[in-house]
Amino acid sequence: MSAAENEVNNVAGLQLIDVSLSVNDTPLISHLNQTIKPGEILTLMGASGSGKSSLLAMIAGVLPAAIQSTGSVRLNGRTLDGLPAAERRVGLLFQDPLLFPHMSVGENLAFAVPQNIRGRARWQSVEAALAQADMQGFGDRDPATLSGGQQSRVSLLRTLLAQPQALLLDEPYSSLDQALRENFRTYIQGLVKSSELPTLLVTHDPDDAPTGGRVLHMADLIAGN
Amino acid sequence: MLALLTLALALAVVLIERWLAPWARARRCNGRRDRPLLRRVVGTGVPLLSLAMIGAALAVIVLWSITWRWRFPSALPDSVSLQFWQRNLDVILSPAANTLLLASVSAALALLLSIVFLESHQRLPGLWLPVLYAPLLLPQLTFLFGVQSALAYFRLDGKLGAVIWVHVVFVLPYTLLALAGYWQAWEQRYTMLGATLGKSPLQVLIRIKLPMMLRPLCFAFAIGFSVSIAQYLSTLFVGAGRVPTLTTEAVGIAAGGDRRLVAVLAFMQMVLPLLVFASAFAVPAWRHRRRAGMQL
Repeated sequence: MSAAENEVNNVAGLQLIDVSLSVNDTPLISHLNQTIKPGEILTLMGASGSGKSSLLAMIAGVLPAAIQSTGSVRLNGRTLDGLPAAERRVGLLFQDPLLFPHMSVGENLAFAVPQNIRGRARWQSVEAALAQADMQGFGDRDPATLSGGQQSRVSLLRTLLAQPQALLLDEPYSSLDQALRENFRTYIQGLVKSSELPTLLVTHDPDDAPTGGRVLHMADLIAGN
Repeated sequence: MLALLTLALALAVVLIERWLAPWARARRCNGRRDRPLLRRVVGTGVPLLSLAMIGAALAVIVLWSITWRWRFPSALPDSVSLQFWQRNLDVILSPAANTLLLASVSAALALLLSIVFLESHQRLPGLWLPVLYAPLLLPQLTFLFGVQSALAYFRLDGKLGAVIWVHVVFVLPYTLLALAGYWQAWEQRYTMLGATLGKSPLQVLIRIKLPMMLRPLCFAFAIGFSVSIAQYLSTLFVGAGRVPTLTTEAVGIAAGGDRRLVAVLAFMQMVLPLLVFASAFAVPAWRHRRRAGMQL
């Protein structure tokens, strides 16, 4: 890495600088350089087990110790390298909604609200989020009683309530059936635009990529891009 | 001699496994349908039988503890009374309190240590296992003799704290074993989610992982509690006879004589773990009664 690259810059969005991942010296990704602008969805395509999820884990700061990574990640000019996941402000959404089963829907959402928002304001932001997703009055519900589509929406709301500055989506549509999937895709794409979040989407389904959006293929990333 | 016997037993297990494995493997895919009758008879009958035996034992203990007079040819006591309980309250109360204290404190400590241990190791590392399980594998008499000599050297024998410590030594392997499987099966993505939602590892542990693990934690506690109650030699040795528990008293009195007193002690010794196991069922069920995702 050159000296110029090492300085903190003012590039808006999510920057991957010379990122490489490997497991036991088998490379998963070599020398990836990308900048995702605010409000842009970059799609990363590849078969399952090809290391897509590992890239997201590396950016979010939750990479398992068995996977080695090099390179640098910056978010709106801020270096994320070495920061604990809790301080990165990167939202992660998995294929499964993974709502905490021991909490109500409202508690799931309140869990994500940052600690500097206190008292009534916490619940107000939860209510507002539910209302925005057309789910008023769902706060007291048991997450296990929600439909798959509703669970996915609550999961997304929870991610957004943590006020992330970037969004990482790990096959977020593949647990939904066809009709819901279309619906949820449009919902997320609208949301990314309006909230101006740089977004990295990982999928194996070509239909998931937004029309006109940039698409990378995992196969091209091993040799270098 | 004992070592030879153990070795023979281990060899027998290995040989039976060798002999059974091909048969089981062939049976798994021979396409024959299940025979539910056999499965049901064995699967329900055997547990029921053992449950009935425990129940019968408890009934006899209760009967003996309230017997006032029981002459030889009578099938049932000639007269029953609660007087015996009342009269011996002071004999029961102090060991019962000691037992309760030792069992709850050592089980709680072992649980805490198990959680710390499992959180700091992804899997049980090979080096630790022999150390942790040594107290179970070594002959108790020799092991405890060494423990007691060491404690006596520092004048720590006979102290309550030392007894709690030795109970933890014997309880810890059980709580650890009870929890290890659940910790390994944990959905790591919940932890990742907690972290990306801005929470520290400790917050994630306390607010997500432990509440979701409530049921196994309660059961591990109940197992640890029972193991502690069953401790006889360790309590006697390390306590230097100065920390009487239901178990040490029951064994002491059993040799001596009054069946009614033994029955009273045995009853308490049996009921305490029963209550704790019942709570291990009830507490998580009640706590998560409105959460379908947390049911068995």
